[in-house]
Amino acid sequence: MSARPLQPIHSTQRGDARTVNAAVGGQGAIGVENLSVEFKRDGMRTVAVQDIAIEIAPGEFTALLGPSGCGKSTLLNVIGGMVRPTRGEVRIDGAPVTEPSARCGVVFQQHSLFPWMTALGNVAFGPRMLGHASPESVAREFLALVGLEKFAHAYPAQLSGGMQQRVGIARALATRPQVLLMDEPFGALDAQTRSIMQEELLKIWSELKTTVVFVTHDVDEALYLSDRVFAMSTAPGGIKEEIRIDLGRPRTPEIALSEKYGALDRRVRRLIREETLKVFNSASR
Amino acid sequence: MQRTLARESAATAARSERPPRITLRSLLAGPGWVANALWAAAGIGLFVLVWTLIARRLGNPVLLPTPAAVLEGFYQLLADGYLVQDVLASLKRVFTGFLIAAAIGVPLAMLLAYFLPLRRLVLPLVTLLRPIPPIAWIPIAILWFGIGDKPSFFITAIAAFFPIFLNSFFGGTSVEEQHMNAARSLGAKKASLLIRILFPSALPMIWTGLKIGLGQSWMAVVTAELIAAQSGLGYMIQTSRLNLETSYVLVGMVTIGVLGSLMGLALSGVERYVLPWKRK
Repeated sequence: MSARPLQPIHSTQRGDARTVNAAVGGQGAIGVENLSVEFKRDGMRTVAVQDIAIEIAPGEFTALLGPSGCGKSTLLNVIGGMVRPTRGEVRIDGAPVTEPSARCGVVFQQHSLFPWMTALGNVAFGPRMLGHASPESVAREFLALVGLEKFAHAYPAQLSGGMQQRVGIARALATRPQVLLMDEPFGALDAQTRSIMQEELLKIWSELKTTVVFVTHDVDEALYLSDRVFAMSTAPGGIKEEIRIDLGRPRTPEIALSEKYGALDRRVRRLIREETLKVFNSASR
Repeated sequence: MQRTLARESAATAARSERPPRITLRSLLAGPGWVANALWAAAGIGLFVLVWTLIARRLGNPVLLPTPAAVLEGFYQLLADGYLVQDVLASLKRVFTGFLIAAAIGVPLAMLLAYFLPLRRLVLPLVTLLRPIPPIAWIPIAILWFGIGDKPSFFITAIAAFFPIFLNSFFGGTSVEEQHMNAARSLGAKKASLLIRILFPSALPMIWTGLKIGLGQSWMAVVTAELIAAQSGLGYMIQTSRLNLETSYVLVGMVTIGVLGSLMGLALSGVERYVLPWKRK
């Protein structure tokens, strides 16, 4: 993952009651308005993303697709409140995002489970923070959802990469967030595990109907999972084109053999290739 | 390669239902604690042998008594009850000082790791105080606390504080940003972040600090007792030296070495319960 200007951990803003209450109600509509993020690195100003405006409907599954360096993770981090925008704003159900909160569950690429807690402890953490009466029973429920109830008492280091990511998904969902942000969650997994995880994710999503924003650089992954794909442009990052993936649901991996899929696939690949070449050529010049 | 061979020969042995022969050689090559103990015993035995030869050759019990004479002195002091008294006096000082240092050092380190203004205020002070060795504090400890337990508590606490504080602090500042973000996106606020994320993620380093701190404290107690006390192993070494009872001096030194090692081993022994997720 690229370095980003991390807010120092001590500069948390005052917690507000709204974030806690919002976890109960709300629909999960995301509005991104004229968003720009600039980083200062070694005194140099870099524009990570510029003038992004998107609307995501409640319950929609969207993907941010682009080559590395297009600012897709930055955009995701702003939506999650982990990075503050230079200009513009993100709203979830109309309320501006100012800091990470339980409204947005986040699944990171890897190594984000708390290694000192068991799988159960990790998943119970969110419900416990929100003052749930019995966090562990909620945690068991969500571990069962990802098929890991038998591994409740294992520490993350004792689990395989795929299992760790399943625990990560269960943990992010256990607070019942309206929005689930996923930052290349299957990027470190082997191809077979990855494909099974994608199917599992769709199954879970069809049950919970959370709004999902899924960051990936894998075209197949984006097409298979999403209702809508945002193909991103590079340097500075922006939305190059949005593509509606009207392939119907539920989807099985065989959908990749359909003609419609083939057409979408060619179109998206061409877009991404253009952007990748742009970066490639400017770097080798 | 060797391992596969070993596995094959074990399989063969199992098939013919003949237990593999235990020889001294197979014991020494083994990975278990028995092999480690044998190697340790051999090393110490060799040392004692060389010591005996040199002491015999020297023939001067004031300069260097033989190990046998030291053992004799050990029995005498044990029978008199002095040794037990001195050990208990020293242990009490070490643990009191160590606990004071841990009780201040760990929470302070966590707060400084979390709150930047506090860090900027306090850390320069710690940096300035750190190079001052515990022994340099002894005069002031005597002025403030007189002679006896209190100045020793102070010295052992000073000695343990810096390793505990510094390790804890670095543990706290090296917390994964991703863990903090994950916790915040799960609804954690300041206090929970500090107690449930920062602290456990720093715990391996805190534990290292505690181990080093206890060792430092144990070394410092002897220093303190040489000057600022009238009991304890340090005091015993000092008075024995004045009486030219070199064998007692060595009894004190060996006791310090053995007890210090045992403390270290004990801490390593409970480590897997303190850091269960680090268990192999």
